[in-house]
Amino acid sequence: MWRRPPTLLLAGLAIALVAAAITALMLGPVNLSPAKVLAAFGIGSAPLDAFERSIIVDLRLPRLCLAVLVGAALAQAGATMQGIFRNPLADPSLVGVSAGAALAATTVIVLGHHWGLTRIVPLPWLLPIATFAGGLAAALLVQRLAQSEGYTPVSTMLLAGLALNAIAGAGIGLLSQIASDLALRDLTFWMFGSLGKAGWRELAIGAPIVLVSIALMLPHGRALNALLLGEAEAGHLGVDVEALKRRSLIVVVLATATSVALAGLIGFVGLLVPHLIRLRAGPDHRWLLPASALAGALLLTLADTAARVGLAPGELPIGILTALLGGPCFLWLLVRSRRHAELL
Amino acid sequence: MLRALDVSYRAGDAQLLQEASLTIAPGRVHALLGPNGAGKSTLLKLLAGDLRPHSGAVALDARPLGEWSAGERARRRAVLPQHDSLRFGFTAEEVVALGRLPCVPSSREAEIVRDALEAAGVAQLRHRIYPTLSGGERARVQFARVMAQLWEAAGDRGRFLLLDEPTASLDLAHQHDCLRAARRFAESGAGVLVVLHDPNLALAYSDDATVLRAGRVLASGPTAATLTGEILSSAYGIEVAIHQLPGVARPLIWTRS
Repeated sequence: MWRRPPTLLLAGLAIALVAAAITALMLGPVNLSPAKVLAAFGIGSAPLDAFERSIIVDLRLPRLCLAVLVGAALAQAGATMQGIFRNPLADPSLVGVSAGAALAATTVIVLGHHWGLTRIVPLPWLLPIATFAGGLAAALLVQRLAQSEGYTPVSTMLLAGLALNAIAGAGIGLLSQIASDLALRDLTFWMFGSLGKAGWRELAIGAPIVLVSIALMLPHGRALNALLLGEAEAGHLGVDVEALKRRSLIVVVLATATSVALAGLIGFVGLLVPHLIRLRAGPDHRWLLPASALAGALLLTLADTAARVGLAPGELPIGILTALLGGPCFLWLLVRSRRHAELL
Repeated sequence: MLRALDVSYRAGDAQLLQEASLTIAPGRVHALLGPNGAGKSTLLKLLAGDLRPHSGAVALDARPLGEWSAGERARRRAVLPQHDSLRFGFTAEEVVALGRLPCVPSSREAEIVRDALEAAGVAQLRHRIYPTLSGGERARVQFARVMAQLWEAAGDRGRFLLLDEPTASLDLAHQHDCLRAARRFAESGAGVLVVLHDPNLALAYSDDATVLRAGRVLASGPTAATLTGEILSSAYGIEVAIHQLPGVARPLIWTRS
């Protein structure tokens, strides 16, 4: 009845992710063999000295975990958002959720110290809270602005996102004028995105949030499929549409905000990855959600490895790389959807 | 029975329905007619549970519709909307399978989807991508979807299919195919409400008919007794005559201009 469950696709993505992860742990200023990488995890018996172990476990592994986590979070958030807006061009970064989160994060970094906030809540906790609040505010605003009679016109949604992105950009620019040198370096990080900042402590806070938000969405694949028929139609099929939209939006904001708190603004992952998966496996959310999470993790792992190794000893901010890849693809999508006007 | 009793509904200042009543009985096709803006879609939405009446009541098996959970309702009634807005690339078969969401999973799922596609006359489209189909083809796939939702007789409890202008985007032959399928569906025990514009189609395929005008029920009852020249003339404000041609089983409705 359904297209054959793309278990092959899921398995292929998982294998590719493991291979990419091992490659990411091998490559860098000091190149290590696969055997040594495996030995660091107690697999095999290749000789591994303390220095090499430290490179793998203390330097490269947290960064790899961050890439996997952020990639999975952003891609699944994109797929979910496209489902609830019933629109393949919805994406947390395009509609301003990420920008709202980044503005909140910037505010906390620059002013949190003045306001004494950081004395009450330490920064690693304060950041995800702030980004969640900022992201949620932006998401609700876009939803209010763009939705009319249960339908979200693409153009209104993208324009609302454009305005939100501009406002957040101006806010971040304003804050950067009054920021100290130290805070300024952090701001550059927010604007371009980087996987080089977070360590185990930040990961310990972010990972459970992202994993829970991904797990929360997985059982709702069929309901999201029904929602694609239309909100009234989904209601006729017994779906509690308002509850589904509310839950999905919170999950999208949780995943996006945590990603922004951990790695700054990394755009287009949520747009690009679900689109590629749909081309391969169709729009069924039961497969789209897990496949997007895996493919997003794979994409960011590969992109980060390329960004580190390609420009060594410097590195290209990951957000610039995803924009370089995603921008042209987004344009192509726009042109294509104009040609098939009925598909939008 | 799915029944609306003396329902009234307003939107803003506009009184869209005024004390309208309608009963859909299992095993029968009920046609709902009336000029544009008479309140047909509003009455259908009240019966579907999308809207709540400001006064009067809608009941499924004598129990107010509001007391049924969304899931229970979805297993007992299906709604074919006037417009579709699906833009994602499901295959026609997958769209029909979406109709099975509220149903208790059975081992016959694939068979039911195939039968529903067959019944709507779109079996040959099952692997086509939905947004690439023509308007009429999409309407028939949606028709298959709502039939699939109610495919298995829920014991001897009634199932109700509400069709909002199912023939609107169909060519002449497919209009008849669609209503023939609705008839067959009713013969399997379901109650079918169908909003129609063409009284000839109503005469040919419905058991009962209700004519609305300006939010009120103008006439209701067995089709042949309800769709008279007099009532239709009064409903649409143009002169309508009914002719019985020799050798044709059903009377034909003409407009005189």
